[in-house]
Amino acid sequence: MKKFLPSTVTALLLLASGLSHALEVSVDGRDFQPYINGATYAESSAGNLTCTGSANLFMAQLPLPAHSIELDLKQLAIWGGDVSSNNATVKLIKYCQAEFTPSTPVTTILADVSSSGNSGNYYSAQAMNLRVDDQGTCVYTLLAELGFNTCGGSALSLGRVRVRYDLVQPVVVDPIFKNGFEN
Amino acid sequence: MTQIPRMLFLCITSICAQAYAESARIPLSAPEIQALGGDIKHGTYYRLADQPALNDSDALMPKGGSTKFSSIAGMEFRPIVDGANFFSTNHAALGCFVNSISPLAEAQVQLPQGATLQVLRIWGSDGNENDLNVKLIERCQPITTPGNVTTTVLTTVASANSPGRFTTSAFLPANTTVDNTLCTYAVRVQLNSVLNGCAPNLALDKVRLQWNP
Repeated sequence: MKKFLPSTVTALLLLASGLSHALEVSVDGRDFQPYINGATYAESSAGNLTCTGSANLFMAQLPLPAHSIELDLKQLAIWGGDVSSNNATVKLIKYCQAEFTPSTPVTTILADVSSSGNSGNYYSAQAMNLRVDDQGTCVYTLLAELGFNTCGGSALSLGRVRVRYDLVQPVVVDPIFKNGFEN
Repeated sequence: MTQIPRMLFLCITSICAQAYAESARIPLSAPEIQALGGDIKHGTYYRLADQPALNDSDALMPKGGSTKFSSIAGMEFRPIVDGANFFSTNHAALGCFVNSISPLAEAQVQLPQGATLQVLRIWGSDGNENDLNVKLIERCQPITTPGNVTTTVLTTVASANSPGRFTTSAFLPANTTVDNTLCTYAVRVQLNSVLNGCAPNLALDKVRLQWNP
């Protein structure tokens, strides 16, 4: 939550200036919360998130600029440490509900990226091209799995997740004056 | 902040901030403070006037181009104590076990300076005779001097009866604006009607705050 403000202000400034610019938002591994809050975890010597018990799932909300700014998600990327036969996976998931009537949340996995091998530091990324125009009814979250179906221990960690996005520019009707002389 | 000129920016003492708050807000009773999980020894507590006639009327409200929404998933809330008994469900909602010490959890919300707060809407599930409630809370301290916290409940929204899945909303009083110079803002959920552990079958899916820059 603490990252909403800078990204929102940046987005508003860019929209006001009419610039097109790729933006990014990062979530530190230590900002993830255990799926079960009592699950145990630790900070690795590199400052990454590791699990220490049996629970291996952690979540964080993705702090995108506040709706009604429209975005195009472009990439999900992760960094961490992997000296394990197991892998770390991060999913970008949105949960949507009807705006004014009771409804069961609809879950959509938008991207899914994993570490591979066991050679130490890892970086992995997945390209996307997904329009975000529904933050009034949806929340965007990151689900980290530190080891498939089991905790990978200190051999598997998550340092950072980054999501790259573009702001959707308003349609310019007048290509010469860019609507500047309307009214 | 609310219904008051921006003269607060000129206030540099706790006396000034206190006088402002007391003139505009309704003091909480001792039981109300206790229900909030607060302690009267460590500050003063207020609430703004309820706007019951407007409950759920945001569905009829036209959305201007500048209207913004900030949403917080249930799992972003942190239990004030006893985290081991809280959990997320499979859609990022927040729940807790009945043997928890407290039903309270909180999430900070970051808003732009001067934004006008309009509506607090929540989504969740309620399968219990107890209800969950969510409060939008402002906590202020003097700008450059030490001082106790002045806590104000800006609005409260709650489930009712046991409808299963639900969504409902409450309006804030007009001209309720954000003052990041003096204050922090948070939403606080109570997964029970009373401050005595969590009630079963209550979960908070998400909270949405509607505001204008």
